[in-house]
Order: sequence, then C-alpha cells, then structure tokens
Amino acid sequence: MNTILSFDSGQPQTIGSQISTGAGISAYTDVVPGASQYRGGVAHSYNPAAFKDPPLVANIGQTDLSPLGGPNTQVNGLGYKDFDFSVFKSFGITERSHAEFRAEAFNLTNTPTFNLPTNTDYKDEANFGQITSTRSSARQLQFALKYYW
Amino acid sequence: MSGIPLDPLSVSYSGLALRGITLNYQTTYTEGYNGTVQYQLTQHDSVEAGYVGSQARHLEASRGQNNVTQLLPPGTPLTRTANYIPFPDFGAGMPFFGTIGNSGYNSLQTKWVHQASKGLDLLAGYTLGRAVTDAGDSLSGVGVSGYRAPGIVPISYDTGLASFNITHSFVASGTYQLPVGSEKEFLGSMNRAVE
Repeated sequence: MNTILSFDSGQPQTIGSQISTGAGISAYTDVVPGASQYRGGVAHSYNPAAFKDPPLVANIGQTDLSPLGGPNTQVNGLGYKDFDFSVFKSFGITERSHAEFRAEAFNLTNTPTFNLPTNTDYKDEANFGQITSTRSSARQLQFALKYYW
Repeated sequence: MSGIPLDPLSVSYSGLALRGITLNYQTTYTEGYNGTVQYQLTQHDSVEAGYVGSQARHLEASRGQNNVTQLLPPGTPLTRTANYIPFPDFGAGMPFFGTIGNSGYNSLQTKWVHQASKGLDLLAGYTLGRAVTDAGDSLSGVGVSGYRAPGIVPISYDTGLASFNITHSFVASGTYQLPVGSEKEFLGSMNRAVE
C-alpha cells in the first residue's frame, strides 16, 4: 500500500489598478484597511470592497508616490490538494518468476485544485475573483499486471 | 500604381517603438546555502530541520526605455509635444531588457522519517518558504508584469512575492506492507490460490 498526500498554500496574485493614475505609469490597487480580501468560494474568491483605486497624479513632477498604489501580490489563490493511493500485490509463480498486480489512483478523493482567478477587475463586482479553471486533473485510476522473470 | 498614397507625409512615424537589450549584459548567477540538523528519536524515527536559502542577481528584466521621468497627471501627452520622456519622437516605454533583477528565497524545511517497523515506512515534510523578486522568471512568462514607473523609481520598488511562491507546503507519503500472507504475521498458512 502506498500513499502520497500533498497540501500547498496558494500562489500570490497582484491586483492592478483599473484606472490610469498618471501618464506613462501603471499602478497597483490600494488595499482597504480592515476589509478582508477574500469572499470565499470558487465564483468570488476575492472581495471587491477590499481594493480601491490609488489617487491620481495631481501635479507634474510631484514627489508623492501614492498614485503608484500599494505593494503588489496583495492576494493568494487557493491551495493545492492531492491524495494518491496505490495497492501492489505480488504472486509467486515459480522460484524465479513472480507476477505483480497494481491498482493505482491519482487524486483518489477527486478534490479539485484551482488556478488563480482570471478576472482581477475589482469594479466588476459580479465576476471579480471568479475562478474558471483547475490546475489538477480529475481522479485517474489505472491497473497493471506485471510479470517478472 | 495610381491610388496608392506614396506621399511620405502620410506615413505616421510618431511613437515608433524600438526594441533593445543592454550592451553590458551580465551573466545571471545564483548562490545557495543551507544548513541541516538531524536527530534520531527512536530506532525507527528521525527528524530533520534545515534552513535553505538562495539569492539570484542579474536576472533579466524588462524595464523598458524612454520612460517618463516624473509623475504626470493622467492624459498628459508624452510624444512630440512635450519633453517628458528622453526621446519625445519615439514611443514611451519601449521594450528594453537589462540584467538588473534580483530575487531571494528563504525557507525552513522540516522532515520526519519513520522506517522499517512492521512493514511501515513514512515520510512527512513541511516547508515554510518565501520567494521574493523584482524580476520573476521572464523566460517562462511569469515575470513581474510590467513595472509601474521604472523611469521614476528603481524596479526594486515593485518587489513582491514571486509568482511561484508557496508559503506552506506539506507532503506525506508512506508504504505499508499488509501483515497478511506467507512469511507474514497473519494467515501465513493460507494456500496460494486464496492468497
């Protein structure tokens, strides 16, 4: 009997500003203090109320860098889960040969693991943080009979 | 050929973008270091804890060229009419690659190994890690997606977690030989057809 169990935490994602805060630059969103960045669930994993536009550049050459927004990688995607399981059974046939039966399952529990959301538009409240694809394959079973001599 | 406008005045040459790469192209290098301690708990069990870290320098990063050199209100025209970029006749933020990126990785890696008692082998590992970069991995398309203002602040201003960062990682694996059958604890006398 062989098992492999894996858990990984999710990978980081940057939410960029949806507006242009200045000419020739780009910006990350500011995170709203106190608001959770997550809503939970596959359809809405991030909370749109937790992100806001950085302030616009007001004056040419200003030294206040707040229009660039806050730090990047504000959020993490969902984690990775996988459970693989297999059973091997050997049968002696003669002294010098034996057969082996193998039953192997990948992602035995058929637990999906998701990619990062593709929609990072925090102004699109209905679809923001929507996850549209998985990064793990569905449960796979395979059986084998091997003969050793 | 009539009807095809060959008048050079009708060619739009403003905002032309040139691609570039740095002349002083430095070789990327990485330095890794680790230290591990291992302790045997029992005859069958051992635990291990280690620090693993690495630093990379001179990663290739697309910082662009002809960038704005100061903050400007949105909508400010950049080309031709004003001198907000070094070469106003060319496009702003033209692609330009330099070997200017840095990255760092620090991790605590722990492991528990249980071996060979009653047919059971187990291995459990946990890693707490943090990968930080201002360049990412531009070859496999997971670089930092565009710097915010590379003409105003250094690219290290956009340092963040690497897109391949995994903070917590846990893996357990094991093998168990069922204590059933010939030469085993139980049902050792069963016949071969049953087995």
